[in-house]
Amino acid sequence: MKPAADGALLAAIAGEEAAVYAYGVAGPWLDGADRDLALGGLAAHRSRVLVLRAEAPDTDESGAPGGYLTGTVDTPGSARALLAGVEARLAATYADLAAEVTGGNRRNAVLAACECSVRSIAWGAPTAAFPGR
Amino acid sequence: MLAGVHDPGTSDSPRMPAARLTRRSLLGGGALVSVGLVAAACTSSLDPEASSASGSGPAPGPDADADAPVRTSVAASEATLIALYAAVITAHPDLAGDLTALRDEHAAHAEAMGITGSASAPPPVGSRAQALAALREAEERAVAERTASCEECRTPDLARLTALIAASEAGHVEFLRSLT
Repeated sequence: MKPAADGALLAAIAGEEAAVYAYGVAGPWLDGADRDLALGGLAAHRSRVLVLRAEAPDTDESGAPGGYLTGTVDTPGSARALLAGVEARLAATYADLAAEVTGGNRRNAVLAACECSVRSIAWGAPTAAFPGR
Repeated sequence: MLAGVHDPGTSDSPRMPAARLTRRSLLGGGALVSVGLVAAACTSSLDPEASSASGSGPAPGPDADADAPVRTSVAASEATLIALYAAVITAHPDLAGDLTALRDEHAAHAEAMGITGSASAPPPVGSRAQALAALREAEERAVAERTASCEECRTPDLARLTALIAASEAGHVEFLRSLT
């Protein structure tokens, strides 16, 4: 990975860590189909963060919520809203990564952005021309 | 993985139609007027970050020209999508509340390309279910096209933009699924 990609790559790792954290916060408030959706999203983010970490083995980004967590999660609705927002922002973070890498890495970044956007809509986010912007 | 989140039970939750109806009805009135403003706002909000992020990239001049085919292709595809949405909304006015915002988002995508694309004539619109299926298929094709276009981009700015557009259109697929 060329040095120019480091900033965007670290941002994507931090975003994925934050998403894993957010699913942990939101999960206890969800049941039924929402819980299944959450488990699927959690598995996807855990997988993605491992792939990204392999690209940047020396980093130690923590799962701190950072700017990703907003508001209090104390109802199923606020849990869904948290996940809708985290997914939309992570979609934009992956678009930033796509801009800084090429070839197969760029394709993977675009696919990840699309997956995040789909989950964001599934959690009730409004559609957007430029998700997370 | 896209398929992984399409849990059939998810879109039945009562909260989502309510939230969307509210937003659609809010957007419905001024949507046509505000397309240009929305597009302009999105473009300008992207630009500062884009130019700082591309500081270490290649010089913009020749590469921007090299990206002209991508811009042309995306603009034409977006124009065709807009024409398809317009045809469906005309044939099924009851869908206008849900579809107008999506059409306007495609207008913002087209505007962001900086050139006017020529639309292909939309196919005849069938029943409500057929129309929604046609839109969903068109959006799925658009996601695949945008992903391929993104790989072809020379400039980081256009790569970022096409990645965001792909993500937007993937979200459209999920939203349309919730309507059927």
